[in-house]
Amino acid sequence: MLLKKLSLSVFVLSLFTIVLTSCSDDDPINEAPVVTTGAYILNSGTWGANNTTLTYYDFTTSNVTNNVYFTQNGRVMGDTGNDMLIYGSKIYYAVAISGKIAVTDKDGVSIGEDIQSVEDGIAQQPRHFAAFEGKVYVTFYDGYLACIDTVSLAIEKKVKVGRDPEQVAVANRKLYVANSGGMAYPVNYDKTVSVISVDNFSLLKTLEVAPNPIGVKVDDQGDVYVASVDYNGNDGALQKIDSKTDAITVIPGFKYGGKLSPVSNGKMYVIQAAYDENWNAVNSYFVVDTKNEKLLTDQFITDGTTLTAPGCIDVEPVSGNVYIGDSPTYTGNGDLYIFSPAGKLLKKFDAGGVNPVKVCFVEK
Amino acid sequence: MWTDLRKFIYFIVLLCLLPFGMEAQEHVTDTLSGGSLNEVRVSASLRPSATRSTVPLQVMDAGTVDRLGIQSLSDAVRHFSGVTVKDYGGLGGIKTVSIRSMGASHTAVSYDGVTLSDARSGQVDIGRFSLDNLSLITLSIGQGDDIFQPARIMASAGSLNLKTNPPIFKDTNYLGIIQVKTGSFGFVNPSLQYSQKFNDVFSAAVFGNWQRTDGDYPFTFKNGNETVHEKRKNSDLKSLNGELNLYGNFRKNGRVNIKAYYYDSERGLPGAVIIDNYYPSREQLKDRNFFAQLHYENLLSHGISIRGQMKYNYAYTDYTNPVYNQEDEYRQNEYYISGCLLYTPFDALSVSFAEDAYINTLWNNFPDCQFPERFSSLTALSVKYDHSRLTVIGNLLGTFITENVDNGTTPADRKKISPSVSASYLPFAGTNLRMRASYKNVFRVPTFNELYYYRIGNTNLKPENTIQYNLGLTWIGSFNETFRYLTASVDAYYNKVQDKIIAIPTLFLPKMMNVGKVEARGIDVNLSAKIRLKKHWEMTVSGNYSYQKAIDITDESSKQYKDQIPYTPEHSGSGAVSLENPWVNISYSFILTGLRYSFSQNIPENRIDGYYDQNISLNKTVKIRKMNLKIQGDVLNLADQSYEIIKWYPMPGRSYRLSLKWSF
Repeated sequence: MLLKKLSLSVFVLSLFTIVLTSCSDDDPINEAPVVTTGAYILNSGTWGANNTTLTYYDFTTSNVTNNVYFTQNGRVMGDTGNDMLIYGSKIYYAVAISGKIAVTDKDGVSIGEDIQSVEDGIAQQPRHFAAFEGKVYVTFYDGYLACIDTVSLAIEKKVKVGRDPEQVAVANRKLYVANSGGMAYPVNYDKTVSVISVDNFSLLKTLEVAPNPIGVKVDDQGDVYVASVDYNGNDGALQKIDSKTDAITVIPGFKYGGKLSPVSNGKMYVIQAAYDENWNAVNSYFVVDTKNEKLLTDQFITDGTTLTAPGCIDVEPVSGNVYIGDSPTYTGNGDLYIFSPAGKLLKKFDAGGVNPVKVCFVEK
Repeated sequence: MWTDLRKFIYFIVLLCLLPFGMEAQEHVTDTLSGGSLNEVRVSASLRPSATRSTVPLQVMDAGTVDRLGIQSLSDAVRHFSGVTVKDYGGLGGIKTVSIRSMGASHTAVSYDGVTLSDARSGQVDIGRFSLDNLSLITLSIGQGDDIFQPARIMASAGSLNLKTNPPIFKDTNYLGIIQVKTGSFGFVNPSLQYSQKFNDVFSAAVFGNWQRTDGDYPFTFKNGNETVHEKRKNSDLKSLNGELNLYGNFRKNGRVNIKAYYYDSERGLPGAVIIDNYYPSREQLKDRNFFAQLHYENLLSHGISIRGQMKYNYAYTDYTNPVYNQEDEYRQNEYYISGCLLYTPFDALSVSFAEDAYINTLWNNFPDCQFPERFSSLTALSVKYDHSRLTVIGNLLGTFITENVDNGTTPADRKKISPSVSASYLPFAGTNLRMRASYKNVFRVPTFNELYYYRIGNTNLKPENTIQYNLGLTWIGSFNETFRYLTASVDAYYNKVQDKIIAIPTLFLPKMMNVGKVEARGIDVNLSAKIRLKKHWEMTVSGNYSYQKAIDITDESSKQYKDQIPYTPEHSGSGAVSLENPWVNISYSFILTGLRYSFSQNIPENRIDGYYDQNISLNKTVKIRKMNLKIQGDVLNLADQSYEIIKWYPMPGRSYRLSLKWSF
């Protein structure tokens, strides 16, 4: 039984690791020059340990402040933070196992009550965010996409999507939701993307993609990238959906989807791992030119820095610096690595918590 | 500073406690302790001597369990030194035993001489065993002194041995015990033991035990400035357990014991307390276990004894979690056969040879189950020299393991020789001070989960290796009619776990790897004494203290390098005082555990506070004709302390038990 419990926790853990793919940053991109002042790092923690934490890295002072949420609110955030989004004046946190969405201001001070949605006596588990026109959209792992009003902080409506939905993104007034079916591993993954109208919040169509789609990102041209992660290495793919036609094309050069960064300045980063027979992982860092859908390199890191288990990759929009969170163990604090656009390590620091899963940048 | 202060406080508390100590885990000799055993008479041959033992040995018999009002096997084991019991709380919470920081899968648990196994997890949940039919619990660290044992018991770093006893009939040809227990949180537990003597050769005993609990105990914890009051939910348990024993004593032709055992349970798994999500968990666990075993023993002429045993074991586990549409089923089988030969050419010298062979199979409903089948062969050769002042034991264990899978990779065969040597010496004739020293190098094979679990398992895993050294002193004194005995032992140890199997993160999946290295140093102190105050007034005190520094030395560059490993307190202890008298017997016992960490990194966020768990038990036995009626009341966690053994799995607060036991 113990074993059962342990294996389950390892298993669930693995699920979350799977899901921890980076920022679903769909914030409207301003044309005016952006100034960033710092970065928030969300550490997921360990499943069942209530150790989701928030760390702040100040660009001006280079100071790293741990446990921001706890310090500001006198309580811990909860269990298994899975995604974070800065939108407008607020920060949203999907705290999956706590079954809630926490909301704070840009200093990490709670705003209002946490948002909790209960179906059949079970708190729905939020997974990932997207935002558009004053609404925040969130996937719930029991198969829903919900729309949250950013003023009332209430869930306005929910729409049924596929199994175990993960990331979501907006393009062309449509929401694209990756239905992973990750709980039905290894044979019965979902392999669909639900397309939902922003205007009437109803399902427009369901697109078929490679099995176990997890990551969804959009570029400036309205192209939607979907990463399907097949662990056996046979059926995964990185795909592009043209949001005008919803036609799907496979981007060549990827055995499977990997972990995607948000698209920034026409570039998207993808992390993959190859395993030797002893399961030692060698990570590859790809850079994709999203204007021409061209693979620029598969070796972004050029100074030989190696990471163990990268949990997230995000791009600071002003400098183009790349932030990668690494988890060398499942139980100890992770590390944050900052690379220049040329792939040179600029800085490395303790992430202040276990399993960093998302970095968001505070704009002035 | 705070830790130092706390350490200092523990030190002072322990210093104060040690002299007048606690509960007797070691009985000196049978004549001394015989008076304290009301219901169960333990035959002399079964009780090993803790002070003569060449390795640390701790013993708790049914009399002690009764006297202290100990309610569960895990609570009994928590009174031993040098062990950590992981307990997920409540009756249904999983309980495992780790000896001297080596991890629970290095502890063998045996039931009437046969090692219990779970090839899938490598760990035994001791929560399922009822104390009602156990007569003796012993914990031996390293290679035990008894060389007339199956090879399998020698194949672990330490063993927890549970023994039931053949009935001893006196005036009647039947014996019976009917017992009913009830207590807080909907606990009800009737049990029955009945033994019948058919003739001079055959007798039989049945045991049946049913229990249920809602397990919905309240708990309190602090989330920063907030205090949260909640109740455990989905924490119910229902279990049924029955046993049938047949005993045959053919005198010159040996003794036979046939046992059939059945266990069936259904429980809710409340899971970790999740902040802000207090909706009941939906996880359910069903367990079914059946085994039948045959044991034969005979003392032939010319100093030769033989012993043989066979066992068939079936275990079924069904875990469901409707939240994720999940149902995992597992079936395991084990076929086991063992033979042992003991030759004693002279009184002081004996040699034994033991051979065990067994097959383990696993079935589960995962789409890519590899259906592993493992064949293990263990061969042990032991030599023992046992004279009044010196005992020396040497042992070699040979292991051969081969595995088959229906699909996927088969791990390589494993062959290994594991040595152990131990000695006890009485340096000054006429005193009772003995010195002991021991060394053991043994390993555990990776479990089926570690090898084959979907995506996580790794068939390249090597066994996890342990090396143990122990040095100790034991002393026993018997003074006069008032101060009947005092025993003391101090052991210092060093051990190392190499190639420790741990889950290593990779980009998407964790993977099991042989990367860990743990080094542990510690001291265990045990004391017990019996004082006769006046006629029919006897006081027993006992106590122990453990110091263990178990550090992770896997990787110099990691953040947890040289940090204390999780769930391992540096300081812990327990104690008990009981007073038997013609009125109402009373006992007080406690368990004291210092600061621990929930994860490898010793940072404040991972800290778990120490706790002080105290129990009080009162009992009174009334004789009605030839029958005994015993009434017992217990208060558990007297101070209503909120504490956790496993982080986010709160333990029950103050609770009550009442039991009625009718022996005839």
